[in-house]
Parts: sequence; C-alpha cells; structure tokens
Amino acid sequence: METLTEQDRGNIGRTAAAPVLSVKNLQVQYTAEIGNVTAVDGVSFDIGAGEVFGLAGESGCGKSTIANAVMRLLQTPAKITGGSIELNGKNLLDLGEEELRRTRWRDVAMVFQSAMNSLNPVMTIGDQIVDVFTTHERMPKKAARERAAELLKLVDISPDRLKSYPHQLSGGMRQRAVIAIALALKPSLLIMDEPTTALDVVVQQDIMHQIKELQQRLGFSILFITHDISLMVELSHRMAVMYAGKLVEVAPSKDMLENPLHPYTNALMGAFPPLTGPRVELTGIPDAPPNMAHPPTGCRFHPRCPLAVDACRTVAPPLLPKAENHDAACLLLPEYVVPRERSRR
Amino acid sequence: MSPAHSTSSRPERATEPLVQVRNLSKDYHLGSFPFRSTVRAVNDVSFDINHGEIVALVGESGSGKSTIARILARLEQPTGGQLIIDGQDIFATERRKASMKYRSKVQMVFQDPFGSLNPAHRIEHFLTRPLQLHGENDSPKALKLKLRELMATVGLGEQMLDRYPHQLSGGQRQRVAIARALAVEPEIILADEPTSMLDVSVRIGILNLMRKLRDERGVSMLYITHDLASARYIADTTLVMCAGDLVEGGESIELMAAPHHPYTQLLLSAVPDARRTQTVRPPKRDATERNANRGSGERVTLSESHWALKVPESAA
Repeated sequence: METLTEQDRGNIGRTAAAPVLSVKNLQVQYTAEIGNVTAVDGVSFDIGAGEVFGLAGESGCGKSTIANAVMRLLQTPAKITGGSIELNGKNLLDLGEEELRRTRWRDVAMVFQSAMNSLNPVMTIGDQIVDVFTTHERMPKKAARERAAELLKLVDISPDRLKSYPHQLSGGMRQRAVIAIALALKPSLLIMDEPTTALDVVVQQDIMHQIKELQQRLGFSILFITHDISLMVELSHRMAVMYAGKLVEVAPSKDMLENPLHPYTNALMGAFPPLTGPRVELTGIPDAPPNMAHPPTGCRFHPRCPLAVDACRTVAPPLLPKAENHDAACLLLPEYVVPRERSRR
Repeated sequence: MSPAHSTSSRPERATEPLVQVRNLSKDYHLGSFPFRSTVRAVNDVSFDINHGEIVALVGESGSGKSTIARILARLEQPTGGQLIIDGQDIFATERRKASMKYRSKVQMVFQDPFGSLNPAHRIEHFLTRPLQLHGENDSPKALKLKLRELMATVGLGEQMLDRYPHQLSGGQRQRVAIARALAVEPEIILADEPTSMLDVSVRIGILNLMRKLRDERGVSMLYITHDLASARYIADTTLVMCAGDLVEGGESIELMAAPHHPYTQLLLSAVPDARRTQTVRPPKRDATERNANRGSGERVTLSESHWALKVPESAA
C-alpha cells in the first residue's frame, strides 16, 4: 500500500472502466422455523480491477453470507432471492453447475475463515496444489509439480515443503499455503473471509504483508472480510460497513477512518481501545445486534443508536452520497451536493 | 450492596502484595522412554499482584501465559517455585488440590463462555451453587436477594436467572461467568482471554465491567490476553511473556509507549493500528525469540515502574 498515493486510494474502483465484481441489490434469505430470515438485504457494491475492498461488521451481520453468495456456495436453507452478481461482466446467478465449477478458482477463489484447517490432512501440500492444476488445466503432472514449487516460493515457503503434510507446517505456513493454492490459477478476484483470526498478531502481520505484496505484484482484486477495522484500514483501498444485512457506509478506507459518518461506524471504531495517547473511557455499543428474524423497523440500527430520532423508527434510510466518494445510510446526515465547478467539468 | 457483599469483611489492606509469584517454573514431559523430552512452558517467573490491581499478562499462543493462570488456579502443579497469597505459602502448606478456602479467594473466568456453562442448567443454578457451597447457609429469601444483586452487578436483568445458557448471547454468558466467579467474593479473579471469543462490540462492555468490579469491590485481577490494546485499556501493570520467560513488565501506558525488550517491540509493531503514522517493519521473529532466551536472566530497571530482561549485546 505504501506505493499508492492518497489520491490513488480514493480513485481506485471509482475510475476503473469496468468493475471486476459488481453486486447489485443482492438479497439472501435463510428459511428457518421462525420464518424467513433476510440475512442480506439489497446490498450493492463494485470492486474495481486491482482494488482491495473491505467488508466490516459484527458477527451475524451477513458479511460471510455475501462471500458465500459470490462464490455461489450457499446451500439450503440459504437462498439468493434477488439481485445480481456480475464477475467480469458475467452474471454468476445464471451459471449452471458445470460453468460454475469452471469459474470458481479460475476467476474467483476464496480463502476461508479457518483456512488453516481447510487443507486435506492425508494429502501432501504438493499433491493438493498439483490437484488444482490437473483438474482445472489438464496440465501434465510434471509441469504441475514445477508450478506448485513456484507457487510455494511466491508465499515464501521452501519448495521442499511440497512433500510435507499439513500437520507438519505451522499455522502461519498452512495459511500461506492456502493462499498460494487460492492464487494457483491467477483468479481476478480473491475472497478472504477473516483470513487471520485464528493466528497470533505477529504471524497475522507477516501474512498481511505478504498479501499486500502479492496483490500489488499480481494485480488481482480482493474482497476482504473482517471485524477488525484497524486491520481492514491497513489493507483495503475502499471499505464498506455492514449492519444487520445492509450496507450502512461505503468510503475510501482512509476517509472512513478519519471521518466516519454513520453512527454505527463511529460506534464500531470506538469499540477498539487505542494503543497510543491518554487512557480513555470507551463505551462500546449497547445491547446486542438485532434478531434478524424480526429486524427493527426503519433504520435497523436505531435501537442502539445514541442519536436516533423519531423518524429513524419508521423510515429506512437509503445509502446515499454524503460526502465526496463517501456514501452512508443515515437520515441525520445531509446529502452531498457536488460542488459547482466540479459538476461543470 | 448488602452487608454480606461489602468489602469490609475483608482483612485490612496490607501493604504486602496480595499475590507473590516467585521463580515459578513448569515443565511438560512429552513422549515416553526412550524418546522423552521436556518442554519448559514457564521459566523462572516472578511477579506481584497488589490488592485491587489489574495485571495483564500478554504474549502469543504458547508463551506460557495460560499455564501461569492454570497454576494460580491450582489446576496444574508447578515444577518449581513459590506462590504466596495473603502471606501464605500455598504450595508448601496446601495439598495438591485447591482447598475450599483457596477457591473462595481465587476464582477463574474462562475463555469460552459457550463451553464453560453447563447447557442443562438454568443461570440461577450457576450462581446458587457457589453461594451454597461457600456461603453461610442463607435462607432462600436471602439467597434470592444475593442472586439479584449479583445479576445487577454484572449488568444483567433478574429475568435472566430463569434462562438457559443457549438463550443468552456470548457477552451475556461471559457476564454470567463473571457473576459466578464473584459469588464467593474472591480476592482475585483470573481471567483467561475472557473477551477473545466475543464480538468486537461487546468486548469493551466486559472490559469495563472488570474495571468497575476492581474499582467498586477492590477485586484484583490477572487478565490474560494477546490483545495489547485491551491490556493497555484496563490493566495497571502489563507483563510480557515470550516462550516461557517474563521479558518485560511495567505500568501499562509507560511500557507500551517505550517498549524496551525486542520482543515487546515486535509484539507492539504487529498490532494493526490504522492511526499509527509510520509503518514499522518488524524485526525478524525467529531471531528475536531465540535471543530473548539467551540472556542472563538479569533485569534492567528502566524506571520506578518499568523493567525489562537484559538483552545480550549480540542481539541488541
């Protein structure tokens, strides 16, 4: 990220001609005994070429559901009930099983939450990588082995490790191996769902550096999901904050950090104690996230919002521009008016 | 608070620390003959916890911080060293298992609130049992009153007493676990990563509760965590552990503003902090860890409330 100027950060994704991923009005429902639960409700966002897009929010807000929807991995009782997911201009929701199988990994790959444990324990690392090449590219075994060695080198693992079984590697190494496997077919989009939660801080930082480096070198886009806003701001160019199935704020990460607009974003940022400065009293967010079977009316955050007014209880605020390149869904924020001299241009 | 819950029943605040840990060591034996090997999980660790002090023990997984908590909770027997609580040399005077008296002084809150409450019992059960086992045979009416008070102290409604654990959120369950520990009016609570399984938005609530209990009831705490920012937030003193050694200790704010030991520096630089102005490329981890253990074990005093383990010249 060090190589990006501030302007780049803000402009990436906005100026790119065609987005790599374009999610429009996505709605996902879970069928449950208590009725249908709408876990993702009308979510739209674009990810540009070479852009790292972060999705932040509490557990249960629907961020992992979005990741699984993009991969088309949702299984009953979850169902995509509306919207579209376009990857490089192709609507993933129209694809059949066989086409999907081809698309996954080649065009979009995913690193799962407990990725360290997603390796097959009875296959060597090498065999698992070779598997990808032989299945998806019908590559001869020998060439595949060579490619596998290259891949491991890419993530700083010695090629001798091809013969190792997952249990012989440390957690951090396993995680890097999983990332290598995900990148095997050079996908244009990599989805990472809390890729470092199970790791220690020092290992986490190593991996984050590595991801940054690879992303800059290879230029793929990332959809990065986490609840750790600090981590997200360090990695992503642009980010969205999600609450109870809806996006409440979308902005370049730096803007989001310096000038969070939505009360929920503010509260979420205030939930992390700082590492510098004087000792402060933090309040966290009162109460728990809402029961999604019966989400609150109006703005879904209003029962926990310190600023809520009467209108918040009845009117659901749409996601609208509230500052330059900065969208938020809150009734209390005035709409952003594009300055005259700029709109004339 | 009722008289039964007031702090006045405690002995006068002594000038002596509540807990004194001296040269504590713990070896784990692995394998069987002839392939036995020994892992030193805790190596010659000494520290104090004062009355009403919150001490944070930070370090990565495998650094031995949980082992120390388990030894203090008497769930593990140490290989060597002393534990003095309220002037009593525990390992010398008590049998292997913790006595009732010991358990009424030292209580533990575990990491996983989903696993530490028996799903078959109502919340009332978890709080009634310690009160009955350790208490003075309260009448049902007095018991009810105490339950209500406990729930209020940890910020839970009385109606929760009739619920089962699965009906509570993670944060609420952890509050129950804290109430359970509080029921016996302990002098110290050992909290082993009490917030790591909880959602970000409720973590602060639990930390604030811990601090409130210290402020209002004078309970000391040993807060074990890998989250340095939260240690800085609630702990008066922070101790840093690395591969079984205590490498640095001091007043939390001071220690994190001027970390001395390379391992502390490494740990701090690794914490994602978007507000940090310059990006620090951390020293290579392996070298730091190896060097940490090559020192002479001597401590350097940096200020009245801050010390660190001496780093060998070659590593510095």
